[in-house]
Amino acid sequence: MTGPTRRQTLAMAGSAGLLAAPALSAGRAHVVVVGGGFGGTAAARTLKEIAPDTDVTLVVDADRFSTCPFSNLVLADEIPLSRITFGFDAVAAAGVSVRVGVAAEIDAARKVVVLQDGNEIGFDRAIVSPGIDLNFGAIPGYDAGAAQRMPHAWKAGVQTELLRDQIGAMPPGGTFVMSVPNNPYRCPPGPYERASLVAHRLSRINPTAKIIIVDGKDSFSKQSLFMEGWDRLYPGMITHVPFAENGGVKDVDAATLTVEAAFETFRGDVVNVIPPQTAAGVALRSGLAGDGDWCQIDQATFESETAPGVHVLGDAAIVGDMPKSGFSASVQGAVCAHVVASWLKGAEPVSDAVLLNTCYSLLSPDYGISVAGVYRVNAEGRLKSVRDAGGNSPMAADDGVRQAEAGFALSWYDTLTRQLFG
Amino acid sequence: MFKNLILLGFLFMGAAAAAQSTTAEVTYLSCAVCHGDGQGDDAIPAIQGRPHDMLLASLSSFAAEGGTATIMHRFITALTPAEMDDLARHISGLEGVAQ
Repeated sequence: MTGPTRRQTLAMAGSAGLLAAPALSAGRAHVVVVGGGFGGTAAARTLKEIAPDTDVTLVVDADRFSTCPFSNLVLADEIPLSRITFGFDAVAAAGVSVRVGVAAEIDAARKVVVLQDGNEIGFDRAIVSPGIDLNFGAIPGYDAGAAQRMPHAWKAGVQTELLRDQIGAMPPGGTFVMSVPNNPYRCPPGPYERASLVAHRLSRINPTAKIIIVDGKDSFSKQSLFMEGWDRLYPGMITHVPFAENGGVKDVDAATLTVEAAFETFRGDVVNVIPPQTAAGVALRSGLAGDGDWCQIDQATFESETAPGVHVLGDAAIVGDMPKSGFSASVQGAVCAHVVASWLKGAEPVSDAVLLNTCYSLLSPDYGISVAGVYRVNAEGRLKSVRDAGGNSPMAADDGVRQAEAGFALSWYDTLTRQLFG
Repeated sequence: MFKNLILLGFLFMGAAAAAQSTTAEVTYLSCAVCHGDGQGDDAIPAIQGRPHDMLLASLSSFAAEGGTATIMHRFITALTPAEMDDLARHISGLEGVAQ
């Protein structure tokens, strides 16, 4: 195995960012996990649990992580950001070395993760789950500066609070404009949950306000269920303008809060621009996405098609038919940990298991809907949706069903985040 | 010496058990996302350590009812009876508050 170099060991020992440092021992395998979200944290904790004799380092770019799931409840002013923000103390206590630092590059040839500060961490295998980056530049006029005026709030944190406060300060009868990208992007139903929960808030504090969704596609996840709920809960408040009717967003202007689409100009009092996305920069810089925007992997083992020894999962990767969701990423992280543990021990990984995903969406705090998927690796090595399984919540269900699903959503969130961060 | 050999034997057994992930164990990783920490004070019940018969009966009833009432009804159609049985056996062997 490749142990850490003397320079790395010294750098790690001297790093204030290191939360816990079990000594890296000669002769033990070292797996470095990049990304402290759902995928990376699940991978690191699962691997340490099933292979305690493996040294596991989790590289996180900040000492706190705010989840995108449930961040729309923050926008709705139902919960504070602190409710969806977690630290890594429990991860460290579980025996994982948590390293706070920005991963600049994964060098598969040299088997090192290069940090922005120049330090390097050697690995036998790496698991990379760095999430997405917003593709500033995809929409003319939308850059990091414009995002201060027209927040994306598609990475939870300060952007979420910024948009929450803008919604609260919107003039009576004002317009909330949301620009939504074409697929693929993080959390397919997320924009429509956001429109719902913003409507929930506005219906109380600003009941004559309007919400306009300028969509980069013609149809969306759970569309019938969302529209049924909007008619029921917020009649007349939300207008969805599909791609065929707007012709696509051409540019935005932060000074005038305008979204210019091919067929129509939308001016808002609050504008939420959710731009197109790519795999996080560290994955692109490391060549893990080839010439594309997303990382291509072996869908049975998550191993990169371009970088042997490096596994990629979560939102940054194309993981067969699985959507880019926190649920999917956490399942993929745990399954990938089993693959890596098997290979480190010279065993064949399980390849005939079932993987699941559920995306819950809240239309109000007590009105939930879901889409579920079941995935298996087929004979060609593709992780495909199992036919005749999965699917959406029923249409025209009574309040009890919707309330129960809202309860399941909360239960899912708390159970998963307790396991990852608690 | 004999004691050491016995100890060595146990160690090997432990290593062998740890090395081989089973299909049911890996499938359960998806179940664990919602049912995982067994606190059981949420809307989604804790299942770890429940008797095999009870778990299998639950899974079978989801399959028999069909439909979309909960996500379990939508998941279960993907599993064969043998997979349900293996999964129930794995979950029944886990430690948890449901025991």
